[in-house]
Amino acid sequence: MNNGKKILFIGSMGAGKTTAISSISDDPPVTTEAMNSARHISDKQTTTVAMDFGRIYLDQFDAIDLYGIPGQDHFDFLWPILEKGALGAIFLLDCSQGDIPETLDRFCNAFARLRDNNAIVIALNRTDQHSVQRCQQWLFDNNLTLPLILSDPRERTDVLMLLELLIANVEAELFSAGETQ
Amino acid sequence: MESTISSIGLNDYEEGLVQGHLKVLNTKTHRTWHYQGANMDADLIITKRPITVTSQTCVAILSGDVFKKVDDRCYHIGESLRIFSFLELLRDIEDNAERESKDDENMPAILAAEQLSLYCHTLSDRQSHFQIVIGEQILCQGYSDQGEWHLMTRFPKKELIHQLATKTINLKKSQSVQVQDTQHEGIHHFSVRAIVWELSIAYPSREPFKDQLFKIATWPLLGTWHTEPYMPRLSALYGRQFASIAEGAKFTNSSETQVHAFLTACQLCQLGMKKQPLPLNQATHTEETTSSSDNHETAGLLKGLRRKLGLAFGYE
Repeated sequence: MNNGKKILFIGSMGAGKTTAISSISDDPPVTTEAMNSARHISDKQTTTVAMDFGRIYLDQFDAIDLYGIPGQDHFDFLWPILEKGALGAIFLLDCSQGDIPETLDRFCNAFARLRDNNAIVIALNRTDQHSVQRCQQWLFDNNLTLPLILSDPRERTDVLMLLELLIANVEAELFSAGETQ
Repeated sequence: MESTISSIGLNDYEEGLVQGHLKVLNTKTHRTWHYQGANMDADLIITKRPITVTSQTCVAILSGDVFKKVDDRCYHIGESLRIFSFLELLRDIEDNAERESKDDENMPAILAAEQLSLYCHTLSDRQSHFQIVIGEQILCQGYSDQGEWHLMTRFPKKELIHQLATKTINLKKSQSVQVQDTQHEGIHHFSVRAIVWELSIAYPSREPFKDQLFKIATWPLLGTWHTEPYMPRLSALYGRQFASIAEGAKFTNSSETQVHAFLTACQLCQLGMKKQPLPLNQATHTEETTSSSDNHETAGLLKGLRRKLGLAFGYE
């Protein structure tokens, strides 16, 4: 059972990828956790060193795979491979870490196909009004109309909202192409 | 409620036909309609030629074969004055009147949303403060924080919206505002755009953006601002391409009034709305393109995913 369709969760260390996938996956997610040696970036004890994997079963034959991909540069060789066949991506951005517009710029360029199809949702956590404004301004300056939402990956309803936005975007593309509902 | 009908230029047979139809139709309409003879002032005038009337009067012209609405005040109902055309005419006039009455009720809310949006947009000095006043009472105080306008008030959100929606408000610049934090007893803070958004959604105006296509440059802050299930899809559609109100309604299974309210809210919240005239004889998307089997498969998967996760639109 695999139709090759997947949704990507991309974010920096501690942004909540593993938590988000755990909250919606039917199987316990396969994770690659190891002791965190970069406590100066995120204070959590363990971190994902390769990727997380979860799955939502739709019926006997179909499933959607969920990949949690670390956003650090040294994993970027994986990104183009995982982007193939992806329905869309959710960028989980921890606003307490680093320069968020710069991170957005890096991710949007790395996942250019998804960006050009509007198949990206931007989820900000640990945020404030200033970060929201800066992200909105960055999107506007780059002529990108992507959903931006304040989100807590520990809350299942927040994660469902992210999927809702992502699905809506893909459906809008299908609607434009003649697939009405 | 009673409404009146008159006529200009109809012969005796046609006047009799109108009265005969009314005897049958008055059980099928919301109002009771009376024919009061020819050449009188009335809510509806039936005539054979176009005439000029007051803005409140509707005109039905006996011409053509079928019922045709020209606009909210002018109709063609066919030369033969068939009973079904006549019923359609009366019901449409009643529906318009009901919508207009709803509009009147919503007018303070619409004005408040427009006033608030415009005022904040034109306040160039981010150090400024302002007050929203109803009569002599200060409803709330406005201040800017990190580039976003906010309202500070003792009213909870629901009450604030109600006050804005039902009263005539005044906005005026004020001296410095002591911004109290949310821990301060009984003080609430709301972003101006969240309030304008909710007002626009809850109290839609009727006058639609007719014959236009729309596109937005920025998504609304869904989840933070008031969110309805149809809004992600509307945001996705209008964020991606120019689309009409009818297309928005079709894509989301919502009413044109809801789509119109959404677009009004986008405009008032400065989400970079662009408009284009609706092309004549606009073809629908399904006529323009053919969907691939891959798209069909993806649509099926998304439907399955919605059903599985209990998301909106998954149950058609």
